Amino acid sequence: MSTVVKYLKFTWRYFKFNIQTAMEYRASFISQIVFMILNDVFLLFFWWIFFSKFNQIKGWELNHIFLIYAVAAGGFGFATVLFGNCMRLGELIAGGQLDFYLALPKNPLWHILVSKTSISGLGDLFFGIGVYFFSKDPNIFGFLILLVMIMCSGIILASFSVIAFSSAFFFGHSESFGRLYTNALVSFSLYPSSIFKGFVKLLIFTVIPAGFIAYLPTNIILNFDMAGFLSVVGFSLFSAILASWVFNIGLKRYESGNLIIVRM
Amino acid sequence: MTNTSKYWQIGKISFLNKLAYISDTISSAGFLILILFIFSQLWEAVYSNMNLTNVAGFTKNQMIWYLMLTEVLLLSFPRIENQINEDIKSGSVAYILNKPYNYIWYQFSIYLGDLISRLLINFSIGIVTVFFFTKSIEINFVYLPLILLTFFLSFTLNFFITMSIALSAFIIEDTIPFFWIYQKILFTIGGLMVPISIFPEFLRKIAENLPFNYILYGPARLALHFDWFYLSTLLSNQLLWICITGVISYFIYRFGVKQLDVNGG
Repeated sequence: MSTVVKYLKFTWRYFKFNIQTAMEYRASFISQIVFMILNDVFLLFFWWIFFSKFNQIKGWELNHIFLIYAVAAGGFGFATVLFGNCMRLGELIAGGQLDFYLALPKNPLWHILVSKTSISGLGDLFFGIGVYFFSKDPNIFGFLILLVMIMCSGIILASFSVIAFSSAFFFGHSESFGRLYTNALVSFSLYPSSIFKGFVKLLIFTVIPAGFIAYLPTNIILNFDMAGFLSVVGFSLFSAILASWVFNIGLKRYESGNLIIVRM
Repeated sequence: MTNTSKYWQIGKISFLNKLAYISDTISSAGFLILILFIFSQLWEAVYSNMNLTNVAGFTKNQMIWYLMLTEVLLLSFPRIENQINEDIKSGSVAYILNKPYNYIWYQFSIYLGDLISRLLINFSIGIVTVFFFTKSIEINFVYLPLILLTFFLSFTLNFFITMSIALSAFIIEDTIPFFWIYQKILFTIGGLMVPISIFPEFLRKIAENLPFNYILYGPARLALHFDWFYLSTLLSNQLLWICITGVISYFIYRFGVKQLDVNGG
């Protein structure tokens, strides 16, 4: 069996196990998903008010915002559902809690990321997929492209979270920095790119790659072009390799906390 | 120790504790700078693109100052609900109940101590940032004591709404999802991102008749457009809703304590 298939099976088993565990508390499981969907709907409220007053801003209309949210919320959901520990990595490193993963034969970074599933992230994922059907011209081809873009967006988000939280290897407790960085990444993704100019525009396609998380995917869904599509897919692969490289450099500086924990 | 002085001491400890572990507050101040930057770009695009000087009574600079004020208020609210939720779910609330203080006032002292330290940092950073983006000062500092009074009542109203929801954990166990919704209500009809005067007529009327606009929109609007009539309206409504939510949280607490069933261990 190829390594890729083995890792996909491994990820699926973790995902299934985490979902089954969460479903033991069925009311909590359902409420987390439903309330997260409601939470995301409320976020759209601002734009509804905004566009009922101004109609459009530099060519962007409410319809485009629906697509931005479809990709960004869907991508965030994908990242936190499949790679649930990506937002907790700093805490695990600073607390010396990686020992369990290091002692096992699987790739430590992959194992750490997939071992947790965010249930509320499922709400984001469902919302992202659902909101697409409220955009201007939903169709099967656009929907398939959306699914690919959600995956790419999720991989970029998870990868850059890993890079930000890996700073804990070098500076100890750096959760505040990691949180601020991921907040910036998500916040920039949720606003029309046309409002940013000059240096900031450069930032959102490099250091804070919100451009690849939401704007480019949105344009590709609206007007498909192969070059744009490949650049998003390519950037997501590049960010995953970069995250793995940064994590492995940091791992050499890791110090165990000798923490004894029971995993049930 | 007198009643007032014990709550004063609890508040003081909470204040000093927050200052000692300042990284969270700095992180939220970083978020404040970020969001002010994004919105300054957004409003710049709107006002310049459409050649507007005024939207619902707010100039471009006032719109950015408005967001700074509402964000500072929101980011300064301590998240006491997590602790209360955990205390009730785990049963550890039983160990607090037999202490010589009232649980609601105890939480209020912690809340205020924590809030003041956050407010000092967020407000200082917010004013410097917004001045840097707008190159103007839109608050009339002559009325600052009255504006701060409405801030204090806004904090108190938020506290009692938070307590009413958090204490419901006695009945429904996990209240955290309800806080997501409460927070989003503040984002929307509370007027966090845009003043409710921009809302369509029917929605503005709904928002004006609910308590949430007196938490964010009211104090921020007063700070930017001070007038005595609005001050009296705001103060009376804040006091009215504090009384209503205070009574609700008291009764939920009394009911919850009677229902409390703790397994020893």
